[in-house]
Amino acid sequence: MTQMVLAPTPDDAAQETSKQSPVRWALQQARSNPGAVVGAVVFTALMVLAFASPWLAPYNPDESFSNGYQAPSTAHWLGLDDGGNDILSQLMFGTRTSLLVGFGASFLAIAIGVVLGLAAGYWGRRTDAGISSVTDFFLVIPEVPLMMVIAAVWGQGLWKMTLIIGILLWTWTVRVIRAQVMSVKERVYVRRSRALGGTDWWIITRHVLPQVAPLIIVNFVLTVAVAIFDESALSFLGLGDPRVISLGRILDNANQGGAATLGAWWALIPAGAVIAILILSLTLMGQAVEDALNPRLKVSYLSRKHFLLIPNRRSNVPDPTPTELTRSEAA
Amino acid sequence: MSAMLEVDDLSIAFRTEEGPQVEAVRGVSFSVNRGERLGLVGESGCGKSTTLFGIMGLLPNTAVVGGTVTIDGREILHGTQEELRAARWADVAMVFQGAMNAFNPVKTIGWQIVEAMEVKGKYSGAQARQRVGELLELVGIPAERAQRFPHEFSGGMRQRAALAMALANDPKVLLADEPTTALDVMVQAQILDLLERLTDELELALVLVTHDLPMVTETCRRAAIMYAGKIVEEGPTDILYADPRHPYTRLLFEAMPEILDDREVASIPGTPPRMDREIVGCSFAPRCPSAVAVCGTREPQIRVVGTRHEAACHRNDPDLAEQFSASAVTEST
Amino acid sequence: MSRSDWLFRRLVRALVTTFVIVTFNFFLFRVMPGDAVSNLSRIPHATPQLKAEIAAQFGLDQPVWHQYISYLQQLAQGNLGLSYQDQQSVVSNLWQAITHSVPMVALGTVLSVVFGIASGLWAAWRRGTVQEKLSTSSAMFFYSLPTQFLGMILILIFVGWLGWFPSGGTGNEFDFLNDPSSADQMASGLRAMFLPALTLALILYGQYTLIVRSGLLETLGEDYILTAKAKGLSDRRIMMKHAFRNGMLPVVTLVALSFGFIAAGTILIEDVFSYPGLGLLLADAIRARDYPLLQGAFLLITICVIVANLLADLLYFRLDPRITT
Repeated sequence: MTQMVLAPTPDDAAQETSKQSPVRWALQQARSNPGAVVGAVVFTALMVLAFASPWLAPYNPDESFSNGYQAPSTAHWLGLDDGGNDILSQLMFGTRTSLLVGFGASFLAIAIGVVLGLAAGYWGRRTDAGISSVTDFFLVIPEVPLMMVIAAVWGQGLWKMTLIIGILLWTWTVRVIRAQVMSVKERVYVRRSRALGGTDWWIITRHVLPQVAPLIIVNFVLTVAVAIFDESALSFLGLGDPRVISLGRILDNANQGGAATLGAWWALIPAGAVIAILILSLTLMGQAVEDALNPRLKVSYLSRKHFLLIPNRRSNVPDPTPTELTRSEAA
Repeated sequence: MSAMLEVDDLSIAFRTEEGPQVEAVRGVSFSVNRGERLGLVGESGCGKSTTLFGIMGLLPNTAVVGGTVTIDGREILHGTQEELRAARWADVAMVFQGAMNAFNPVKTIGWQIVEAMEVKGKYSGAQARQRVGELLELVGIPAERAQRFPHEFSGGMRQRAALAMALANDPKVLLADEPTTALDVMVQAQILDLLERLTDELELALVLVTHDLPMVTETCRRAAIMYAGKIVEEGPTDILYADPRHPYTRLLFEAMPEILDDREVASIPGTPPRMDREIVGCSFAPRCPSAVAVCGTREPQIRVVGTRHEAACHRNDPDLAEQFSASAVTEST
Repeated sequence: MSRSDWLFRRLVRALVTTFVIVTFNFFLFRVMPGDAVSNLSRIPHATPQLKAEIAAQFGLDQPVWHQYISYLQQLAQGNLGLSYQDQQSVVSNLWQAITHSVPMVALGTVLSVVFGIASGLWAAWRRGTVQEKLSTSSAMFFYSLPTQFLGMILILIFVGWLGWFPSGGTGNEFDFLNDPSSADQMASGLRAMFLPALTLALILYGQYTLIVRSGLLETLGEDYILTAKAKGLSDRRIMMKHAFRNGMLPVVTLVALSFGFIAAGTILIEDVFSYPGLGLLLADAIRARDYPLLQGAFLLITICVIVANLLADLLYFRLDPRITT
């Protein structure tokens, strides 16, 4: 029913989307979704700066220049923390660490999630029942407390933290991928392929994966955002790597050093702001792709504005078209 | 007798993000009298459902609408939004395609039918609740089912309940958008019988939109054939069958498989034109087996070809007769 | 399957999950690298008596399955062991902490749900307008703020710069729970609770606004909304009587999924504000490697989340007549 209200015809629409080049699509997105584009630009900029920190950072982040907090100055643009370390340098190296953990954990989580989601969706029945009950179980468990406990027991370290975060983030991905795989599996071209004797591997790689790929991308982007948040939480409680500076650790230092009550905003705000900006830009990007993939969100039957009405061009003079004449001629 | 429903030069276009407007309905005109059933037939995407939505003003804010819709002498599109809303379900009501989903799943059927009445104010309170029972019985559903939720009804029953709800406020015009799609043949027949009986008894003006030509020939006395947003032929159903004056109509009838016939099932090759581009000449010309040069350059106007029978095809134009072969206008394969 | 069967299945699932967590809790501390006793005695102030107590409590000389059974037995009797830090029973520590956390979390959650629904509704209602963009942008902004960061910002503003609230709490403010008639106690309790609850509320509000908005928008695209419009119902009536009720169903589910986030947020918030609740207890236990307390606090937090999920299931059950499987 909704299809009738929104033209064009289904055939044309299908042709159109498959012909569009990625460049055109990107430009279209830029016009309709400026937030996402800003997010992408900002995120890329931060990422570049962070990974260039060995060359761009003004000082060594572990070097101490004073005994306590120092407000921003020309020598130290973001001031010094309670240990006398340059905050700007800490920020750059810390962002690098947080991004590494975020991406690493997400790769792991997505890999697990996609494999399990594919298996559950494609082979169904018992495989699905098994995987789904495990996923449901994990969904109910609070993830961050679990991560904290595991980290407390297992020990600290950058790779350990990445692993811990990654191992617990796949649940949401599995559900989403599984649902999509199940719907793709029922599509005509897949059934046709099976009837023609296509192997599971062939069908999965050639038919299912391309349909699922955009969803995987969205999930990945949004998972990185969550992973960065989780890293900040774990490091904040002292469960990160004590040898490495990270954004969460900067916040921990600020907390322990009483920056908030002392009014030392420079030790607190930049790190938190960077985390927020990273998460925000990732969320904007992810949401934009998600909205593009989910056309239903575009249809809403309630709207403040109404359809446009062309006013009547009726005049009192009858229109001397042939039809009028022939109508009056007929019975 | 003036028509109960008069649609005059209705045009509906949709603005898109990419730029060009999609013209879904291009100047459609027809009229339906009391107690009359008009079938609106065409392929998917020809604009027939959009026309119905346009009649009720149920269009999104990306729509650009022109023309008039007059019900019982009153034009409803050009008034205020309030007037349009008042006319909905009071003067004109609709049964939707896939009425399976037309009901709110968390409210009972009875509640929703009562709501349709109380909002209009014609029936209310105990009277409305009583009427719900009567309406359901009218469409062949036991009255006590009103307490049930939509998911407890079968597809066919839900469609009938939707019909009952549509009739709640004694509308003058009933619009039915593919009311039997996704229902099995037995239920289809029941629903069509119901529609016939009710339009006769209640003297409704019915517009039945469908792509199913056999259904129209059985149920409707008149039919309008739509193609690419325009009506290409309109007339009494039996005349359209016996003496079609548009190639598309003829091909549609030929595409109807006959049980007792050995004839091959003919199909119409090609696809309908894109609606986001301007169409030069006759919109059907690319697929028309009888097209000639002028069909590609000049758009044919609707012209009368018989009693209450009109068609838009250059073949009916006496001035262009020599362009077509000497054989009769109505060719048979 | 009937409706009560569905409910029963959910209950069973909650119980099974709890049991698995209890078991996990047990084995987590047994699979630590290195010998359990030496790990457990990595705590700074472990005295010989303490070590003997640990050995006795955990029965570390016995086979694993024996230990497991006695662990379960102790659990059933409500014995979670002794905290390393203050030698008090874990249970009494937990009990005190949870009486502080529950009001704070409840206040924060209720505030965020109310404001989240209101602003999500507003954003869906005003779709395509500037107001919607504003509502959605502010929601996204708060959603992206790390919880501990927001808490510290609020301290910076309200305690550091404005001095409206006291920093930290000694715990005495909450004696009003023992003596509810005292208005003074109540007031000081609320004062201590306010900023932490506000932090939680702001963090969640962003999430809930977005969830409500998208839930409503998806509902507003359903066929029965078009039917409602065709019936000549006013936009307001459609939103309130049809869209809202249906739109809230997925919202209940999604809010239920945020309970884990609430747990995480509470831990961070209580740490930042030194608010003597369950979250701070866990955070301190982690820092001090106080394993019995750590185990107990984690168990309790997880059970809270499981129970909350069950309640959400109940709510969904009541709202949706379609549940049969």
